[in-house]
Amino acid sequence: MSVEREDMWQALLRSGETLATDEDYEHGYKREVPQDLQQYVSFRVSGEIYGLPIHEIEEISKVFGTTHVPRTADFLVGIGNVRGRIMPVIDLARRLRLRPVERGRTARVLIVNLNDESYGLVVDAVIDVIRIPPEKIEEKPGGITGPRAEYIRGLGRRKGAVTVAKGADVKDRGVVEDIVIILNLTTLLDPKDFIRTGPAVGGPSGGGEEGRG
Amino acid sequence: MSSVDQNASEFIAEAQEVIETFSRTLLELEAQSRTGSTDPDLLNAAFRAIHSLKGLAGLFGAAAIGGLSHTLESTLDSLRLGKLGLGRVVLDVLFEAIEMFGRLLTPRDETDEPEPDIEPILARLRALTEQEAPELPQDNLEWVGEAILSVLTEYEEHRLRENIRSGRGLFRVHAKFDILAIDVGIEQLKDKMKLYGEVITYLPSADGSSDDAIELDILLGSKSSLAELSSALAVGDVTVHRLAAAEASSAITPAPAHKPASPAPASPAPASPAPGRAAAPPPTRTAAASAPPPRPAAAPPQTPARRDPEPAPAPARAPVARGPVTPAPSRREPAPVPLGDDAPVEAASSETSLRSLSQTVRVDLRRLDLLMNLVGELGLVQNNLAGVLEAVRQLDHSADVSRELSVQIRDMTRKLALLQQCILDVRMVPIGQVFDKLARVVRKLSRDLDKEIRLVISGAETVLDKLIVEELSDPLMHMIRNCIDHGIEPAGERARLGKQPAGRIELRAFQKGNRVVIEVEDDGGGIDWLRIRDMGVRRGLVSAEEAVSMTPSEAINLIFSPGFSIREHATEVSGRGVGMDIVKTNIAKLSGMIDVTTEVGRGTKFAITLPVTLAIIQALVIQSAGHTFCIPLNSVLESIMVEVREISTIEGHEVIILNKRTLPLLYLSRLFALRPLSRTYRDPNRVYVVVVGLAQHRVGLVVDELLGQQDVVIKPLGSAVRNVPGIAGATELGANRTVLLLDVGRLVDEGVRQADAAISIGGSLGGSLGGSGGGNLGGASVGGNSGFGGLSGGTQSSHLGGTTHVR
Amino acid sequence: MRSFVGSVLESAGEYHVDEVKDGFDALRVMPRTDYDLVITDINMPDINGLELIRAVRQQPRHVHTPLIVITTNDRAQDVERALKLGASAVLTKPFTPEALLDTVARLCKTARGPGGGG
Repeated sequence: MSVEREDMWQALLRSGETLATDEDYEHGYKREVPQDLQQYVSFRVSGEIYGLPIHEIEEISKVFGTTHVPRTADFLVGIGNVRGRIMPVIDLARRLRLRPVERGRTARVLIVNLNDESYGLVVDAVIDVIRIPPEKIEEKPGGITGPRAEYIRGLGRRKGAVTVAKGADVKDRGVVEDIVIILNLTTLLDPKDFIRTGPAVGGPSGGGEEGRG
Repeated sequence: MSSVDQNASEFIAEAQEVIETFSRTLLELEAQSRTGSTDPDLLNAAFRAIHSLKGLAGLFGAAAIGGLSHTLESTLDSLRLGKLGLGRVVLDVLFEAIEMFGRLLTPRDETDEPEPDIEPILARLRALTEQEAPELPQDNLEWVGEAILSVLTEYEEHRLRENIRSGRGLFRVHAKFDILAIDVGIEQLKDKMKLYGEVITYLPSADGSSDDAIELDILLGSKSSLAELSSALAVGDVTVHRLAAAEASSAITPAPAHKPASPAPASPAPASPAPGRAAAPPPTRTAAASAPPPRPAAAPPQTPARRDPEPAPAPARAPVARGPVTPAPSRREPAPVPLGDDAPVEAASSETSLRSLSQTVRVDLRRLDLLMNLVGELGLVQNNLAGVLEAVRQLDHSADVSRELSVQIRDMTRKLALLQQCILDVRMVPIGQVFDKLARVVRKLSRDLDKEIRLVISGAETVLDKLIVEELSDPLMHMIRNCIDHGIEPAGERARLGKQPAGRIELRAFQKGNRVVIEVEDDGGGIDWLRIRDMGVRRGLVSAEEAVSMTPSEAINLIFSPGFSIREHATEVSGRGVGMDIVKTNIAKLSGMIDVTTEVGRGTKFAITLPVTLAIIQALVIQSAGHTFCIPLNSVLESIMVEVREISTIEGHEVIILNKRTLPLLYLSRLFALRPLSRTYRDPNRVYVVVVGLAQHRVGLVVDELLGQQDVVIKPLGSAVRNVPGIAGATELGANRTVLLLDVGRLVDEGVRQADAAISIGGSLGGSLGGSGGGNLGGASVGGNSGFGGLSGGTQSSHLGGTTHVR
Repeated sequence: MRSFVGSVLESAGEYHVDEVKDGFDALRVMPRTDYDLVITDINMPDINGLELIRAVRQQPRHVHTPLIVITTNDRAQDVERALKLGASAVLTKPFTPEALLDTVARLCKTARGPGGGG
């Protein structure tokens, strides 16, 4: 276990400047590992800030090539290959039914682990690692309803970290307080949503998923 | 502590191995006992298996297993000593003991059952030995000689007596083997001797006189004459002598078993052993030992025809001579001797380094997965090297270096591929492991249900991935149970139907393309689809309306529904309403399919089709709408170029006529709704058709390009994409490019279903096996995906670790 | 079974253990090596334990080497023969690791004393 933990830290460190400030290197990364249940990696998808518990993230990777898989939902970008491991890569914006934005050089793939399988989640940018004490997580996402609600585990607030704003400017360090939407991987990656039932099989076609071809 | 767990699991694994060996031996013995004769070697092997189990149990403090093996050992001892006959009753009790071992070895926390009570079986075992045959009067064996008798175990002595009683002659075969080649030499000699009789024991003479040779006397019981044996066996350093009652008694030199008198004290000790000893022992000693003293000595006083450099006087030889002697001097030439293997035994001592001679190692499958991943990563390194090579080529004056580099990279590529294959091979085990277990089940059930069953096994050597083999055991068990319980009719009924009284179950395994097929076929009553259908209605699995329009195959499919039971009343053996649905689920988990063919009155055949492994397969690489796919080459019959005008349309389906058969065409791009990725030039008048087929069904896949053939490693897709119909897996093709592997079986199904949509499967189920829409019971949900974990992806394998519980 | 005697001894930490797969192997190794102790089972294919004892005792090097024979309990005749041939001790299966270690320790001690063995 400890070995894996090490690997993850290495991976996080490798993924570089988008992840954390110097301060975080000083304090954040040296925080006692057992406390990491309170740590979240925050990232941006279509202008909103999302978070995932740090232990669910194996690695943060640059965007890599994928292979389209026919007969699958539109949010599945395809399957990718990370050091010999084949994994589905998901466009989070599509999965969350957000309006996709143009992705720039900050785009990353979060490699997450669910039930011992890896998945890639494409996000617009990784922001940083934040601590949210469990009691500060709002369990019920009050305002958010609709299809997205099932993918959300709770809401947290984030402050005191650098916010990468649109454009080049860096906004007021440590002043801004953002809402971080903590995602629920189990529902987000529910296998039954991945397959777009083909004409030969018939059956209900999933919700608003548009066919690809 | 985890070391305790490790010990326990080591013990369980080891014990299971022993019990499996024992069980196999017992089955063999049972087969022999029907013909009236049993091979003493087999009996002895059975005895030894339990003997070592007892030892194991003792070391691990497994009291119940120790107790049972102890009593069982006594029974087997009586059997091999001929005190007890190997009859049906005895065999039954022995097989019962195997079942008991199985239960005792099941970890308590995996079962709700209380610790089984071994007393009843112990009592039954003891009862057997109580009715032992009375001891036969013992022949006088003195003539064989104290030297031999003193080293015979009770069992060997028994065999000696048996040989004499059955009128065989006793022979002493003397052989000398080069110390390095003794294994092969012994094995060869043993094989030869077995043709002529029974080897009772081996009497070595390793007095250390010769560092590079071991001499042996082998006691052989045979009906052949000395001349026959001599001509058959006496080659090289082998001589044959007859031990006859009369001659022998005079020839025996009492063996100074321990405490050798004179020469021994001469040499104990020297600090520098080897040279010291070579020089120190007096010639007499060398003579006596290296030229096996017994051979020429018709009678001790005479020493004819010695080859010894210094003929040693008799007295000097006496202390070391190992006694048993007969006349008949014979030739001896130096003979090279080859090598071999032998049953494991025990002999340990202290000093120098630990040296394990076991040929096998148990490896956690997860470690193999790890290795496989590392190989995958090496593949990437290799790709990077290729990049480096390109860069080097751009440099000036680099021709030599880049040439050398490219040679090395190519070499590395080849070896990586080999390495990958080797790791895959390590995982492969013969399906026979499961078949052995099933043979026991058949045996037990046929007794329990009083139905005589003949089990015919073929293809036990077919290899499959270890995980698959383990996961197969439960489903096959259920199927066999069903065969015997529901399939095979009682003997009376069979007789009435004009069938053989004994039911026949065939268990077959064979490789078919890149898949392995396992068939379980019985010659029982078959499945009446109308009965199944009505039962389905009664069980509420289908509505009466649905039932009316059901085809026979749809009806038969109902047996795979949860909660379906054929018998009105559940029996002890099966028919509790769980069974075939679980079978289907388990097979599906292995990415397999199960088909059923049945004919009322004739029997039923279940065929399970499984992937061999996530192995390397040969694939045809094709392109459609700019997307690249692999097709397992094994399911490709041919690839052809077809003129568009050759395509005709029947009922809205495009077909071509190929070899006078109508071949439905499937456009991969349409099937997969592929958006063109790139504009490639295509001749609008021609298309490529890859003819693929499974069983009797074939379709033509229309593709844009044939890119070639390649060996690919199938990687499993995670659970999210695993069930995409028509996709079997993924593979890496060149520079980190992931390519999908088509599930041909599924695509053919779809094609056939589209083409035959209107055509009902018809009344005869007999012919509709295989890839047809109707017969393919598991197909819809199972598809041939490489869903099980295995080789690639560490995550994948740990996932497996979680779900694979082998009992 | 073989490896278990070996592993029990190894794990005691005081012994170097050579394991051989059968009597032939034993005969191949023993004439060249000074062992402090030999352990053998009686029931072995081909060369049985009794034969091995006799052969070992014929080796000058091992005339006095302590020799433990492992057997099953109701083999009185075998035990008797083994002792006659020069076995130093008989261990009856099933035995505990402690019994094995005790016997080995005792014999090794005796062997190191003057004139030990037998």
